[in-house]
Amino acid sequence: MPLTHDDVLLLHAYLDGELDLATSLNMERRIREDPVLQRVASEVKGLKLALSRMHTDREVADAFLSRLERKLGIGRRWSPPQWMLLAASLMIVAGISGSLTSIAVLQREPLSSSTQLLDGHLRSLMSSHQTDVSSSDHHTVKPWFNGRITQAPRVVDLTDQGFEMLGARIDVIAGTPVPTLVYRRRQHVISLSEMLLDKATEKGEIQQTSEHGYNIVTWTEGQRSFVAISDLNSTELVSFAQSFRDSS
Amino acid sequence: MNPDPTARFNTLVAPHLADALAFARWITRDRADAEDVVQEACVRAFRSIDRFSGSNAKAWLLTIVRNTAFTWLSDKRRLSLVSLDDLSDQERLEVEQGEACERDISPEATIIALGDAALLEKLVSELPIGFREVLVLRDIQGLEYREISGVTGLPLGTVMSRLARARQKLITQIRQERS
Repeated sequence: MPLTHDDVLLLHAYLDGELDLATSLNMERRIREDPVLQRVASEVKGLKLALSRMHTDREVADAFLSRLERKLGIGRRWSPPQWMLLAASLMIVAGISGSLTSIAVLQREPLSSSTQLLDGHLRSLMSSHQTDVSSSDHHTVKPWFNGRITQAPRVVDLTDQGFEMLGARIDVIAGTPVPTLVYRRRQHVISLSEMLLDKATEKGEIQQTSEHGYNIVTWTEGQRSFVAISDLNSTELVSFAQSFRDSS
Repeated sequence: MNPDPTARFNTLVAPHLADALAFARWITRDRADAEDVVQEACVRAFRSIDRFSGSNAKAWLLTIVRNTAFTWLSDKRRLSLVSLDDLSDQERLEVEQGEACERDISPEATIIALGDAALLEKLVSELPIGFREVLVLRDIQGLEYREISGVTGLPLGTVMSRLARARQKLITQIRQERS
């Protein structure tokens, strides 16, 4: 049976994670049963994967920046003085303080920790220094933490799920060093921080929120809680969190 | 919100500059032109930054970049090259799908063909602008449908239809390149 126009649109929306649960399950079943849908789905999936792997230049040329700064009449934004970073982080505090209070990770330091994680993420984006150790190999990244922090953070290879590992860094939250892994999906950088909790918890649901265009997802697992921050769309960031959480 | 426009610029615009440049490059297909467009867009963004109250700074900036790029393209009379026929959203997708399944090419073969990044990049950049922008916003910039609708000003149904057709065009062309 030939596919209708609507079938095709629904198929693409399904593969983009844009359908509600019921429609999505229905589509899943139809793809299983219909060889034509199955073939088209497989082609579109292959195309999406290839597009997401396509190299996109992330360079913002220095000459361009200087030109832009002159044009806008603003100062050296790319090596901002300390007060400016502080001003930026204060703005973020004002912005997120309303919505992040309920997040499980924040049991210890309710507001400052997520604020500082977001701040760390933003600061790393603005500089060329996103990682302290750069490697796509989790066998390199995991031992790097030895001797730098007391906990042994979970490091997971998610290349097959389309999330490339760029490396890791250590953020300092409320005086405590926190291991942060850095992944990439297309050109979107994901910072994933792991924090130790005072007491063990059940494997928790993934919670999400967003501020200023940044999506934030958190979940807890035993004595660890995880926070992922990115400008990646929320659907894919949640799927990143699921892949990471379910990898153990 | 901090009243200082410079500080707001640092938080709202600066982190998305690389995305803005990449998007402008896909629209203008030229690195220098893309920088001109983004610079002009940043001037506009800077001017209206006090009025930005939403939570999605990236989509906001990409909207300004997109509008600036289209004005810029039409000033250079490059937009006239887009034929209306290319953008008719009512064209039926099932015909293309029908052809697709008659030829027996395995999906795996298509995926392998897609490993040729240079070819893929060329094919994307040759898509008509109306298809290209929607495909780039979704599959390269990772925006959700409703965000793409916001950035382009297109109804959601049109976004979905153009995205499906853009992908179908690419798949068909890749198949042709291989045969």
